[in-house]
Amino acid sequence: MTIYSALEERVRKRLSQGPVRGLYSAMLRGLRGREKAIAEMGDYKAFRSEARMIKERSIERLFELADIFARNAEMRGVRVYFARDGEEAVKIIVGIARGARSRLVAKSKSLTSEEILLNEGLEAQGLNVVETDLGERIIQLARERPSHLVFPAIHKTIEDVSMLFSGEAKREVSSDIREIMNYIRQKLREVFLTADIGLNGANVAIAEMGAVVLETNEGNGRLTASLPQAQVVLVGIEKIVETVEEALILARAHAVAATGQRLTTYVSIMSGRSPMAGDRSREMHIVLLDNGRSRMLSDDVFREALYCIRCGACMNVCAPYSVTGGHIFGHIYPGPIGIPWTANIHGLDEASFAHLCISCGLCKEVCPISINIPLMISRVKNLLATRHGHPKADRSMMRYETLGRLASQLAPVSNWVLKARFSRYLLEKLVGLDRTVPLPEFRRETFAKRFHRVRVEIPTPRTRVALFLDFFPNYCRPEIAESLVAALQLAGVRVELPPQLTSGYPLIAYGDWEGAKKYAARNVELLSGYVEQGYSVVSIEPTATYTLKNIYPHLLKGDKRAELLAKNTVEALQVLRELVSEGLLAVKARYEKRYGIHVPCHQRPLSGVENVLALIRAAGLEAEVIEDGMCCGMAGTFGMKHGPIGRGLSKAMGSRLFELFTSSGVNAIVTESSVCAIHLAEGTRMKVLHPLDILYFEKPN
Amino acid sequence: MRINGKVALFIERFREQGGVVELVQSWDEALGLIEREARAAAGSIAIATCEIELLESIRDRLKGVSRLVGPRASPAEIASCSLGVSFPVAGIAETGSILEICYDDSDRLVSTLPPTHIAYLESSKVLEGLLQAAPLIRQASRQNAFSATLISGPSRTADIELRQVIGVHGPHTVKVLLKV
Repeated sequence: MTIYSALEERVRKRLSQGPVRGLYSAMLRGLRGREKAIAEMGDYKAFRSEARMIKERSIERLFELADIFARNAEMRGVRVYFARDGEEAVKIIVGIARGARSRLVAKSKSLTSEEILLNEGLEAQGLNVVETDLGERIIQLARERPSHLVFPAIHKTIEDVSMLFSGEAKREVSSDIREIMNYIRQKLREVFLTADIGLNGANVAIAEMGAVVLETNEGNGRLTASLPQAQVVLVGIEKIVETVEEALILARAHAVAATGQRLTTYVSIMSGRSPMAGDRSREMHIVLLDNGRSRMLSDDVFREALYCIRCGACMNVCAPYSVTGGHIFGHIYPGPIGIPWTANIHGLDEASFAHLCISCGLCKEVCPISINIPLMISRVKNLLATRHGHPKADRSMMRYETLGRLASQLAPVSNWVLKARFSRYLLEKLVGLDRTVPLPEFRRETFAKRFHRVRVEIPTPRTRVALFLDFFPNYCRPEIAESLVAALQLAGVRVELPPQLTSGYPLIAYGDWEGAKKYAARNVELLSGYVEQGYSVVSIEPTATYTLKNIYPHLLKGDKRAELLAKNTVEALQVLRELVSEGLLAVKARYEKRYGIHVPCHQRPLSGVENVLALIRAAGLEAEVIEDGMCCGMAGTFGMKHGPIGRGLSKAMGSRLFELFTSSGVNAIVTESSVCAIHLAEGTRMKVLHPLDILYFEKPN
Repeated sequence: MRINGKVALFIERFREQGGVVELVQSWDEALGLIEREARAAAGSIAIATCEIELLESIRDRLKGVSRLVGPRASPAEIASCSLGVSFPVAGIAETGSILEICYDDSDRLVSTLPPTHIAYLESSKVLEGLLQAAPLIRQASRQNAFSATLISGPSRTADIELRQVIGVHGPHTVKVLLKV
């Protein structure tokens, strides 16, 4: 069994059981809370940028700050240790426990300790380690791993919890939440008061005062840190910042992004070991852990993973995670950011769950530090492919351009073939294209072939644009591009169609970096001449726009022409909206309906819904945005692949959004993405249109 | 009485987070409320380190009402109390938090172990933004050891089926007696 087929098997089993219980609600709760907290913050963009700069400069000075931190902590009587890897860290902590003749360790939630299997290491030495965070305690008793970063036991029902605690108490603890809380409070109070060692992680560490910052909502962190004779803090070296101001900003960012709180209920900043009722004999030990972090630091792509503040926001927006949960979409580190962390800390093969990533890119958008998680995941897929090769369906999907060109050249015969059951069966077997997924019709006369008929010479143009088509507007929906060109020319805009490839995004999505770089380099070469002459590049498909603006500059790092192209690439509806607001075009409605707008994932970091909503409303139509904040599940070609990691997951991800649309009372759906349109039309059985299907433009009176 | 600006924001946000704020005109009025709480709680009262005048006045007031534990009592003694009284150094309007700075961990336990935590805070100590707390923390760091804790309401969890439960390992009730 390959690592891919093993993963496929786990997903298949999960899909047969239905999505992880309670997980989707927990994620939505996190997302909604975050939105609310951001709304009251004022300039969140500036705050986010400040938070990112803090991490950038702290990671840049990582070793220097670690030295300053250690010096300042040691000056206060704290013992500081540097552990190169997990094994060494466990050995150090076991040594501390032996020295203190400890039996009982009260522990507060620490993902870093899970990273190095600390509990197992301590228990092997006969120590009794008790997790004191409620969710972690449930997981510990169940002998499982957390399925969510913030809500580790979200997959457990109250009845499950009652059974676990009854087993521990050797009496019945009913499934009444109050009784459970009373039980856990009493049980763990005893642990807090008698533990020899309090073990905790740190959300942040402050170099200037050798302090650690610990955030908890339950108050267990305060008790593990203060009551026992010895306190041991395990800190990943990437957590160190220089100043207390920086730490406070990160604490705020963490709470807002994780749960939508303004701050976690208790944010404790501890420096030195405070006496207890005058007793100054107490100890504090801080273990600074490397365990692969310095290797990540020297990697151009993975370095950004060190910016993570463990808020779990990327998990809350990840559609495949919402179906599979952290036990499948994770190793020890779950969720999107768990992919680069796992690959670097626990080994590349353990990160095979990277194949569950649908490359929607929303994890970056929701991250309070704007970490480029999608790029790192793509890199992990790339490395996995180098070791194991690409899965069959991925290989086929990456040849989409050749297949599209062929289908177009052979149309209408190809359309007939693509509808025939036997040929679909063969395609499924041979290339992994699911036989049941609806496919678009291909046009023999592509837009590129039609352009000369559509183009009008504008002698004194207002502006000049070069059109970037991408796959669907060229091969399948040329009338969309035609409507756009007609409107632009009506407003006195000169339109050119440079020779071009499609964006190549599927190659990024499936981790073929070499291939993707070739696409990027070729398109930059073909388009940058126009940009240098003052043309804007107007792109129709959101994913293509996203690729030109957000991906090419990373793929072709340092290439000034790629940066210039990114800067001068504009969304088609943005241009039309501007022409309407300048009074150069009037927008009209073709059909009077109430529309539900679907926002494609790659459009969120661009204009979001602003342009489409503004144009639809200017045309006098009613429209509302219908969304749950996650991907619809199609994710380009992901939903076309046969099998659980493809069509199976795609349908499960989409089902919730389909229900939102069908119960919304709208008459039709509008979206700018052609692939989302296929998925939504199938899932909702509603009419799904492009904005340029329902709008047309005239010269204003 | 009109309260606006940062103090009003602090009150609003602290309450939104499940905390209780009661306005008092003087320490004496606050003492009255503490006495009322002490009578209702019918248990010992833990007190954190504070100015000697405050300590003496609270001792006098609670004489014959409740046993006063601390400052600097043992963890077991504090754990047996039904009420803890502490004296935060600031309130933060932006986050609806109080800031406690302690140099002895028994003071931290006063606001953690008893089921009810009462914090006496003068409104002049309410700061607008979170970052304004930084100089206070930095000042505390001149001592060899300290802890600074931002407390934003009672302890809570939603770990079981996302059911929000107030009062886990920390207090069920956090009440700020805000002198205005």
